[in-house]
Amino acid sequence: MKTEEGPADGFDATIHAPNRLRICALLDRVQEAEFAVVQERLGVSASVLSKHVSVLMDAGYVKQNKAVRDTRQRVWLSLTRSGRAAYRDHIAALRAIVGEG
Amino acid sequence: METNEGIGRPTPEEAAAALAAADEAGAAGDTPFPGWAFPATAVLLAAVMLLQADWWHPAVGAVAALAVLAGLLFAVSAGERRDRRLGVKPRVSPADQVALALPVALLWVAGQFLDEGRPWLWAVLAAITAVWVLGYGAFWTRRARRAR
Repeated sequence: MKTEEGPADGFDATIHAPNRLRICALLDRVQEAEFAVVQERLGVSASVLSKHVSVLMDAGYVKQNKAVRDTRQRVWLSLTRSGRAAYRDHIAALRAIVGEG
Repeated sequence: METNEGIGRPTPEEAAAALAAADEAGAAGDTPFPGWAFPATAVLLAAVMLLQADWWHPAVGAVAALAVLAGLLFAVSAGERRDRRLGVKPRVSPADQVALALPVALLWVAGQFLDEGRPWLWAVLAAITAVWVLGYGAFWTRRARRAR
């Protein structure tokens, strides 16, 4: 049975959406990654990634930096400090649910 | 698009599936440091230690210090070029940074207090520093491989 939980136990509905969880998981392992690399490694379309990144940015979990390379603008994504903490709390909450916590 | 509506506390099975998906996505983000990163760091830090000894002619010391600085700038630049080419900047956690740097800093401080009349001490400290950095690099690389 599913019950709604507040953020107190670390479970975060914003992060838990499958694609957003995967984006946070990938970004947690790096300092920064280019948008196109995240897209390729997660196997999602640019529009899908863009939408989820927007949600995560609105929540203050992800930030983007723009840099020009080879005359093209590249977007680099990274977790914010609060985003990293929220992701790790969420993972801890999931582990607790599974019974590992 | 996924929204937050209907996202509640998952069942243990759903949580396990989410954890597996997160592990897989996290592994996709793993980007190892280049093979030369830890050896280059070891050489540069050992050189900084050796430069503390007072057996160098000032001119030799100055040239060596410039060489170390040039090596440092080259290594940083090469690392940044690689990151831009790959589109990923590897992450070293704060805990790893402290674990790597703190012993080296403590060795340097110890050298400052104990080197009176013992310039050879810096050669010993340089060797310990190089071994520590190389050892930590090997540990870090093995851990990163295991996590994938």
